[in-house]
Amino acid sequence: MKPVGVSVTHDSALLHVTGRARYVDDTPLPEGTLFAAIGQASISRGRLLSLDLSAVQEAPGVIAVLTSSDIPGIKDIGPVFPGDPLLVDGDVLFHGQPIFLVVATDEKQARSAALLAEVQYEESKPILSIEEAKSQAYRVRPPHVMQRGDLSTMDRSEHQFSGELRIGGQEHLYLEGQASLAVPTEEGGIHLLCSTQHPTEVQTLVSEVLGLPFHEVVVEVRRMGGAFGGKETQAAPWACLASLAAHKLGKPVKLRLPRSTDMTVTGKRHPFINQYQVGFRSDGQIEAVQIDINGDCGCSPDLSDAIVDRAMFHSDNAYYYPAAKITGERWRTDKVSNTAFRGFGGPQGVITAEAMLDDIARNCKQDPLDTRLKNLYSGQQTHYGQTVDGTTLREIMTRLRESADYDRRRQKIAKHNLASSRYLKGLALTPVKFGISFTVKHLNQAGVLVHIYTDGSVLVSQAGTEMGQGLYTKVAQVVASVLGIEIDRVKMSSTRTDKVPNTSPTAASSGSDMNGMAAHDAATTLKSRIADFIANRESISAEEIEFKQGLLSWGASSITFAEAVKAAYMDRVQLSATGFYKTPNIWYDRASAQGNPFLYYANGAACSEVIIDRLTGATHIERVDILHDTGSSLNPALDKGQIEGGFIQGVGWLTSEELKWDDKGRLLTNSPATYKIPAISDRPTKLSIELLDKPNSAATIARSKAVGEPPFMLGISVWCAIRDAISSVSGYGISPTLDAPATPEAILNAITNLEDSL
Amino acid sequence: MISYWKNGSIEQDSPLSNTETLLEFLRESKRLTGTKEGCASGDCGACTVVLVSLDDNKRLKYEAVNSCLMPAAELAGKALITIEDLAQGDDLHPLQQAFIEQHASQCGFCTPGFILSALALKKHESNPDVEAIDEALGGNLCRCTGYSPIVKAVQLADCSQDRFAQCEVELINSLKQLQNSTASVVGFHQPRTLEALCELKSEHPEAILLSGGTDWMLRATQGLEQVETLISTDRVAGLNQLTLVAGHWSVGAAVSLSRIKNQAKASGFHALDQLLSRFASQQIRNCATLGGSIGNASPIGDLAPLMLALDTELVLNSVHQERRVALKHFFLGYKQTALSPDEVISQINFNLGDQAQVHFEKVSKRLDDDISAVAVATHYTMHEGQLTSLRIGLGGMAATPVLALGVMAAFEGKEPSSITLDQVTDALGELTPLSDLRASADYRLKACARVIHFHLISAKESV
Ligand SMILES: Cc1cc2nc3c(=O)[nH]c(=O)nc-3n(C[C@H](O)[C@H](O)[C@H](O)COP(=O)(O)OP(=O)(O)OC[C@H]3O[C@@H](n4cnc5c(N)ncnc54)[C@H](O)[C@@H]3O)c2cc1C
Ligand code: FES
Ligand code: FES
Repeated sequence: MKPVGVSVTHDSALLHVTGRARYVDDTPLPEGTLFAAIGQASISRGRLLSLDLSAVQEAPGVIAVLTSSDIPGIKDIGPVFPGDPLLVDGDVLFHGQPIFLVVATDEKQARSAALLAEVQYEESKPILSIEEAKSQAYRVRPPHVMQRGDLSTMDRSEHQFSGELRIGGQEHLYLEGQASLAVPTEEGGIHLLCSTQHPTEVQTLVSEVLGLPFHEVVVEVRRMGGAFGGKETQAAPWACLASLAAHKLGKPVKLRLPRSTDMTVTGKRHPFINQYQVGFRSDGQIEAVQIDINGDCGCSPDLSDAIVDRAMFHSDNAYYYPAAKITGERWRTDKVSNTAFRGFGGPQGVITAEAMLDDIARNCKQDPLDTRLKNLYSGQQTHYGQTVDGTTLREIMTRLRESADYDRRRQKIAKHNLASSRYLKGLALTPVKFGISFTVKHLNQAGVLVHIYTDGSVLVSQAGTEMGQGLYTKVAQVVASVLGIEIDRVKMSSTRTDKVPNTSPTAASSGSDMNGMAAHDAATTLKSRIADFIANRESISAEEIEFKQGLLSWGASSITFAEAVKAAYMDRVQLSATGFYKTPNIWYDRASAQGNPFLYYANGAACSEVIIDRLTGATHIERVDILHDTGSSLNPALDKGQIEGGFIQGVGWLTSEELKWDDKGRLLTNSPATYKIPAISDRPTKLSIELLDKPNSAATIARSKAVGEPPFMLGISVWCAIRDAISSVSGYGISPTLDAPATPEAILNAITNLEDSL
Repeated sequence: MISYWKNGSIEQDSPLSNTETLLEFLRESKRLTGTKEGCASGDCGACTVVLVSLDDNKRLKYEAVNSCLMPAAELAGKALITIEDLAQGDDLHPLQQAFIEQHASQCGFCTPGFILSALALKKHESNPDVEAIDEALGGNLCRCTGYSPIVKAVQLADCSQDRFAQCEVELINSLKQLQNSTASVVGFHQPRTLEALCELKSEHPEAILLSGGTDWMLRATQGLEQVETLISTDRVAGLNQLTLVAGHWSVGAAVSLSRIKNQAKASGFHALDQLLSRFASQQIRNCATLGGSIGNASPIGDLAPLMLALDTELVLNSVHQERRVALKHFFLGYKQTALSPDEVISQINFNLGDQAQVHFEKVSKRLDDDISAVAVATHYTMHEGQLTSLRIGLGGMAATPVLALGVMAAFEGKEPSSITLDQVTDALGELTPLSDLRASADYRLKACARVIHFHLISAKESV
């Protein structure tokens, strides 16, 4: 069996289905474990005038109450730039911000006690919208511009069109909430179990908060119950707080956030308001584009610089803009700081391009798919100077047009819409081109540690974390395939900062690309050590030895892998190796806004058909056909899982998932009762997912392609199909304004606006 | 102390308090951590477990419930299945096997809950169609998979010979043995007769009546409220009867919504069946009751609009008296009712005449398990092309569930085809709904008018 390219089941599947898979909150507690809860600010912006914690202190079960002044080390845990105080330190930055930590002998007591503080504030009027931030030049970071070509061609174009798109944020709603269990070590350090995508950053921040050298803190993550970017920087505060209490009290401390607290105090996908202006010919060909990208970053920079950059990098999606000026603004608002979420700003860029392409098509009375194909890249450079070949994308779109029966269905739908009074149908086929690599260059590195034990069993520790995406499984497949052994001989260790140091977050879809390569490197080192030893012993050349099906074979001879390992050990061959990978050939020069920031692009397209109830604006997805490029897939089943899950999550972002805040900056949709992610009936009635089985032209692990984020943007086809259905009310003459998410209310408004305008 | 059956034997345990949830009991006291907490508010299904009890015919009834909303005390006398009970060593349950084969878990956090919802379904329907699966799993959220591998796994698993089928006789015997077992937990009462219930309520007028608990328990799990006395209606025989004679429905206040749904389906009351398909989730419907739904007087409840449209009558009991109150006189103001502190709702009665036509529409952001922005129930009779009677109940349009009196007055006696949307909108003019996180007032009015208009212009004579 060839372990790479095969649909091996998830390495934890058995544990998942039996309920034996342990998440942080399931870990048997060390004796004497205490429980923490946070006390939160009840205003969005202002100053703390007084804080009376006596009632908290006296509440039953309370052991300690900690505030900012109890922090021995750094007080600001901003991951890239300062701006994220661990506990309120004078200024309140957002509603719900943690002010203090209560530690008690039981969790409910800690939570109840946390409500008893007497706090007085000097309240200021919060800035809650991008418009207000703009009017006061309230930013978390300076703007950045990417420009190319002669924009003045816009005025000379046959047609000009401008539009604005308001795009809502998105709550991660990982099913497992934030959780940390901090256990003090004998030397005053911390062993931390944490649900995080970024163990190294958590280690670093915990150390700095406690004033300890990094080697005193070990962070361990076996698995997360979902993350989606929401545990990249957002796991750190709770890890630091649990560690602070554990360090102060010398007792293990668990801190897990109740769902509504989690939703209030952790960042979300950035809302954006993007404006575009485009000049194009009557045949739909784009000549010049100007896009203003406005990200609502919340109260601090967090990762917003890179997120808005990625929105800018992707504001072309798949289309060539001969002249372009893309401006990216990072506005500050007095809300929880927005953060990474699958796609990392990319989706908000892509949807802007797709909205614009639909507008051009309606203006030119063209089928939007034809307009898209006309403007698709074919070997030109992006607005930041990277060349896009575009042949794969064109192949995907034309194949899908055929296999999804696009043209015939388009006619059928137009007919349906003329005949039906209650239900409108819509169709759209949209592409995704997503740049793979961290745009922060130094993060493009990964390490792996592989041990082979003398029974031939293998243990792999690596930099990446498992959040359900199947990274551990894919890395195990790589190691098994290099060593020619069955996958069940390879066990994945939890991800620990004392096994592989200085790691990057498991993010940017890079997990299996980077860890897979590093694992390949380590396994190859071990394989050649063993091969050299056998070659030497048998007086043959190492190249003659084949590692396959648990055997080492040469000529007519063979021994088992376990025998070879045992013999190598007896001969004092080192059976442990590290592997390392850094992504080659990537760079971006911020001053000139030019570069080659991505190793390659992952591509895909989706064709979606929706039906809308004209009475209420309710939508259902009737059929979806997806063709997605995962290179030579490492594991087709896991990749399809990522594609389907990403797609549905993208659909949720653009349809039912609506974040609402009141005029005081309080999050109203703070529970799954009021914030609606897709449920089972929201899946398409018919769904087909095909992989474009074509090796990556970049030298990635087994020529595969990253798959975590790109499919998220396939969900945009549903939003475009909804707009298509609404547009039918005007005989497809008008491209309706439709904010995202397209909730029933937004859809009904768009329909009645069109009805009224006719 | 509670006695219950689990994994082959009758166990006895003491919940820590009257509001300790089954989820807390399992995870903290029993250290059974396969049951997960995703929200503690009934919205995600990660905490789903299966309760087994005997139905009226002494057959086994498997019901998925949200352990995060159920007081552990309520477990007394029942059988419980959690994820830990499905496999025996390496011998996996068919559902577990199918989930693995179909790659139906990614992060795995939702998986135990899905498997238990699926188990309850498969125990009653060995070959469920896709709609039945969606209905059974609508209360389980998965943020990773996109659901279709889960649906496939549920379709493929053959549970007919699983370990629960094999221990059926033993289970039935154990449940019979536990039949009269009641919880003995401080501050928790499980009366068995209406008289006992009324007496308790008059002794403790401040006590909370707990029916399904799906509404009230949120105050304990989200609001961290404690309460001295909880009185459960679950075991009150008189409140658990459902009779249907010649279109006359008489529903005990403690009858679960899933039982009502089954009856609606069996007797062809489509509007009620369809309403309940969209009502919360299977887990909630298995617990929630009609009495609780009316008792909580929520302005956005789904059942009250239909009950208003059907001119429902409530039977209220106290130690002193039994009285009958028309539902339209029951809701006095926001979350205020005509119920006095020592009274309970015991019965809900309504009539579905031969010629009656009933339509129901729920408007919400999501199809499964969502609260209505607007709910419209239209009940009419038609004769010779005219609406001879018309009652419309509305949810989400005022501080209480209301009758659309303006619309009813305007169009009763009219020919449906002549009614325009503008006329309906005008007739709704008296109502001033709220703008909130679910919808704006404008949308509520707009959607409500469009739905009513559609109901009216599509009105047909019954055949
Ligand atoms: C996740 C979730 C989804 C939901 N979805 C919906 C939905 O789609 N539509 C909808 O309408 N509702 C919904 N609800 C609200 C609620 O669950 C229902 O209204 C349910 O019917 C309440 O019934 P219960 O028996 O569980 O009530 P309980 O919680 O037991 O009681 C509710 C209130 O009524 C009182 N009460 C109970 N029984 C009686 C009685 N016999 N006499 C007098 N007073 C009584 C109680 O004291 C309490 O104040 C949802 C709730 C949750 C948690
Ligand atoms: S924990 Fe989410 S429904 Fe119970
Ligand atoms: S597998 Fe992660 S939530 Fe379902």
